[in-house]
Amino acid sequence: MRNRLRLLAMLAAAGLFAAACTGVDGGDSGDAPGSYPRNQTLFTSGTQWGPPANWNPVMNWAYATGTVGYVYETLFLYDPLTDEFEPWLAEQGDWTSDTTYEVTLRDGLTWTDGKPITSDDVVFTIELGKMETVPYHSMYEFISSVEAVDKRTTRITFSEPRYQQWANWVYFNPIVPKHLWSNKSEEDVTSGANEQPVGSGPYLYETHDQDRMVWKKNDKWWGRDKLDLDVKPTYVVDIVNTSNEAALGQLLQGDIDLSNNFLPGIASLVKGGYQLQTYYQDAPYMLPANTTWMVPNSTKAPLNDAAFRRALANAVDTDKIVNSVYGQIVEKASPTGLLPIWDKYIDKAVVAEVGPAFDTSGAAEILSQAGYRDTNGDGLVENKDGSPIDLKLATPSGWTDWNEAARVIVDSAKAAGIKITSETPADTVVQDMRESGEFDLILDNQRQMDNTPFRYYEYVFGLPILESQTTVNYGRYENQQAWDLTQQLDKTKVDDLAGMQSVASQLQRIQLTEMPMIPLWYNGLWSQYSNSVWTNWPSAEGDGPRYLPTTWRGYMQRGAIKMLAELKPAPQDK
Amino acid sequence: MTVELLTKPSRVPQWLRILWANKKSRVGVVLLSVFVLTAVFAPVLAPYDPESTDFAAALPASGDHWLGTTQQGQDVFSQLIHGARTSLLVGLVAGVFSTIIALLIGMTAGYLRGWVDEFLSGLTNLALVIPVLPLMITLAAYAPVRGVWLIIFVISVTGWAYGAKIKRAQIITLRTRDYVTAAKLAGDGPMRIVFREIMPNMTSLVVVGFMGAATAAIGAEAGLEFLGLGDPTTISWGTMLYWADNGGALLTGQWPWLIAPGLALTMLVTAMTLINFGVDALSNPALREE
Amino acid sequence: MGRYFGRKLAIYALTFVVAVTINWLIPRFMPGDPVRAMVARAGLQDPAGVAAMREYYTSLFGFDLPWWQQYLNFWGELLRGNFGVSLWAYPKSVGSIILAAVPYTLGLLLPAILLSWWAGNKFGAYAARKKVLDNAVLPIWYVLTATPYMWLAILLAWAFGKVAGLFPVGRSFSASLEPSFSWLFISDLISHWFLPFLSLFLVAFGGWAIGMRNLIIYELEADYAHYLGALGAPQRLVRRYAFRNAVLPQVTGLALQLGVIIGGAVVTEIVFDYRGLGYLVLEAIKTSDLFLLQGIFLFIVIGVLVANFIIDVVYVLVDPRTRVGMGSGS
Repeated sequence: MRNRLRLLAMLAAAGLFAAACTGVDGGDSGDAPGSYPRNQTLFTSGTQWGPPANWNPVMNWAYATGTVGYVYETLFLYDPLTDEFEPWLAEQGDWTSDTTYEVTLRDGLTWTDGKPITSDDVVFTIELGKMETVPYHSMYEFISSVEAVDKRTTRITFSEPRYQQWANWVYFNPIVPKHLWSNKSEEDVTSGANEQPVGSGPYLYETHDQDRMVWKKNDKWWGRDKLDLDVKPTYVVDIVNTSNEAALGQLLQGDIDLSNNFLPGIASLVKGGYQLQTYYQDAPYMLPANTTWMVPNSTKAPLNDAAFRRALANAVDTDKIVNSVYGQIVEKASPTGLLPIWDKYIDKAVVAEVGPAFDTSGAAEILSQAGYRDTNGDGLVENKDGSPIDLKLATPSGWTDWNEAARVIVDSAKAAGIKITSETPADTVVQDMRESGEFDLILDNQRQMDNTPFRYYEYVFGLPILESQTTVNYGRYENQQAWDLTQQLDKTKVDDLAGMQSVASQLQRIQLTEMPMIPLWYNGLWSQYSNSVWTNWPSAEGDGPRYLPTTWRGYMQRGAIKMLAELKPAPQDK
Repeated sequence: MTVELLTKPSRVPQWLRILWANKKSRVGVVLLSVFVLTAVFAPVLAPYDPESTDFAAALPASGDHWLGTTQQGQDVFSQLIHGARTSLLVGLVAGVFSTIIALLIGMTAGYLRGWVDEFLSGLTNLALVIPVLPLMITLAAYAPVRGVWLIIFVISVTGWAYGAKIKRAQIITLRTRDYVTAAKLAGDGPMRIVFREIMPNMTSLVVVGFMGAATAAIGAEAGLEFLGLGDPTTISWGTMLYWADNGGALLTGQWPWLIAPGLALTMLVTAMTLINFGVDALSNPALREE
Repeated sequence: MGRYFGRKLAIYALTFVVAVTINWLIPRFMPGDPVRAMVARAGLQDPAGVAAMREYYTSLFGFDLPWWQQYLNFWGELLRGNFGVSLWAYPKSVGSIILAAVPYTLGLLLPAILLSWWAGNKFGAYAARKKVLDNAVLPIWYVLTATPYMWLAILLAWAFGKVAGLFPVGRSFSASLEPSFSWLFISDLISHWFLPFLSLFLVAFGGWAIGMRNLIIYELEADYAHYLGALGAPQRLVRRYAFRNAVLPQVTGLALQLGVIIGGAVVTEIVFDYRGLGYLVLEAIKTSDLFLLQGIFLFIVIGVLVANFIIDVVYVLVDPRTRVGMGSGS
């Protein structure tokens, strides 16, 4: 008995002592050996949801946070906030004729193993697209040849110039070193772990663990003199997420500097004196990153009827989702679904003429005009043949914001007379449904902000319909005219704004009358940062740096890497 | 533990009396009744619709919202009251099912003996060793549609083994009793003997078994839902904990939201454990307290 | 002796075979196509690319073979220690992920199980003979043992982590540290370990204490105890005999409780964001990494079987009856 107590006391004491020694947040331990000096280290989270397991830039959906951006770099950066391309590895790139594009590398670039970066590497990287399992294989189908003109210049000849897609390619896909990659098998290229990555960027692989990825500054990075840019943190530690709440806790304690997690309660915390900051000081706090759409399955009655889809689009109370589900950290989407950065492509006249707006009685009106009547008096309309309508809206279980949004959609559709039932299957099941087309209604937000609205129209109208739809047109909406217009947009030169606008306007008229997908709200570029160790974060206020504050995959090349060069150490208050 | 007290079904009133005489089980019975009444009258007792998201989000406790509101603007107190229904339903149904499975397997094995017994006992031993929670998690994770009934199903098919083992042991001691032998000689069939002669003598064991299974089911349901393997839109204490934990109630300081569902669970399980010990005391006079 | 253990081992081997078979069966009877999930994440648009990638993953995971061959291959891979490839941490192997997490879970479970068992039994036996103490602590034990693991964990995290700020909550060690054999690192490790350990310990402790208390009371009422008392044996001796007899069912109980405590460890780890198997379970559920989930399940089964066998051995060592019985049997 006495032994027991003594033992317990000892254990408790040991625990307390250990806690006292490390300090609760462990962050006070300063420069002790075996720890990263806090004031030289940037802690990030919100991208990596599993242990870092591959550093393969080709696997652009799964590489360890920073693989592209910190290590592998692209020819250009594209900044969606200014809609401008910035030469990065490339010094310049131009269309020398309607079908040839020439890109010239900067002079004197080297890989971090000391070998020079040459046009051979660029040729090699583009030609990887020959492999069917490389994500940009479809782009390669329009390329007839790639050749190195000299050490720095590459000429790409197109069989059919896809200006918009190519502009996307040059900023999105990183160049890989031929001398290390040329003897990789296709399997290795598309799904190898690529441990010990060698690239050209501002950081070097330091170490990784199940729950973190550590990068160390590359003091010899070319950008220091060629761009006069210097990334400030000596170490970047990216923390593997377990949950958004854990990230919030660490952010509040100052253990994480930048969190790209979805934190619904952030609005109250930003004002609560926790030294937290977001891009905007007030609602919506976040930059919009992508559009959340409701996708109706156009192959099933009554969703195969454009009038019914229009009624549905009018029935959804998106403002309620924005306010009560998201607490105003998102914004209602334009009826076209185009992000605010694409505002110049929106034909306001068309939107005003045919665009939907939340209007319960208007939705009911459209239904009754189209012949959907409530024949059994339950307040809900039936199919034209009198059979009851009961649409299933599937959102992945555990995606709590979407589950809640689904509930609002169900309620507001019911008010207009449409019966929808919310279902929350496992996310793999939803994925299955989405791809196989065995659903009534789903939500989706996969397309991110980008250099061209073509990416969105491709997503809405993409043809042909395959047995399995893996990336576009989940609703299986078939409209050859719209798809032809979309391809015409792709073939429009990127500097031909009027040409793009004219095609976009025609597409919008089809989109708004046919409603193949129903845009709901803009999902945020979730991002909140602590000013306790680093300051001068991206901000819309004053002359704060206007960069995308994120480490999400695919965003480093959208200018986010420059955020690291803007950071300043916080003044020491001790 | 034998059950000499209960040789005849007509002694059931005494069964209740002893339960009531035992201080612990009395507390348990009172507590459980409170929960049952709460569940039955939930719509009357709850001040608001538990699913309604009409209130401001994350309110602290106040006169209007005794336990505050959730991140989605639901009234925590109303959810707490309605949650009693789910827990009791799961406890009752899963408890009944796993008791029935345990009875069937245990009694068949114990009464028939021979190779049937060998097989069923082997099965029972097997099921006893396989860790139930990971199996439940795997089953529930693979299931296409998640919800309370799935959880009930999973708990029922995984939770019968212990009960079956005990019941088999009990029936083996009972089947050699004089009155069973007498019934056999009188030409009664095995079904009649098992259900008419032996069953009444196992009442306390079955009740204990049921309570144990129901208690385990309530705990397992909360655990699975906490892991996000339930349907997060049903109102139950498990999903409340899930939402509270996921909504960062710990960080935002909404401790009533965090504490209430767990406390309710603890009290319910305590009530059932207390009753169980009372029932146990029926067969073991030494445990009785005056 | 040999026959006894032989029989036990046979049961365990059979259990393992059944568990493996269940494990193999479940995903094949459930909807949801892991290969499709994999391909979808790649975001390929080109039909030929999709087909090629699907073929690649299908053959990688062996779904294109006849079922009996899949089953045999499953065993073959298993016996070579290959649990498959994780989707969550692709292309890492499930085995390597689990092995990296196991030390944390064992580090929690072993001390929690052993200490709670030992302390619970001692304390329960002690309380059984002190009427006043018994009345005072019994309600606490009842409530403790009825407490859901995750809830106690949440309470401790809130009280000691957030309000008192005594212990860190979240992860197994601070993100700013590199694992090393330094005092800094080890103390950091312990301070992260303490609360999850405590919450597992407390719940289990309540259960053992109640069990022991009831068993002791039962034993003290048994004929031999009265007989010893009547013979004038000292109370202490009687109690010692009672304790020895009461410990036996508690050893069996330990085997039965293993599964429950492991379940408790899973949810406790999740509350504390402690990077053991429980954390992996949650991640596997969230990302539908079924290979990982199955690997963990099998791993736990193996662990439980081994623990059961150890308990069998211990039982034989402490129970003179089985020792004698087996001696004459063989």
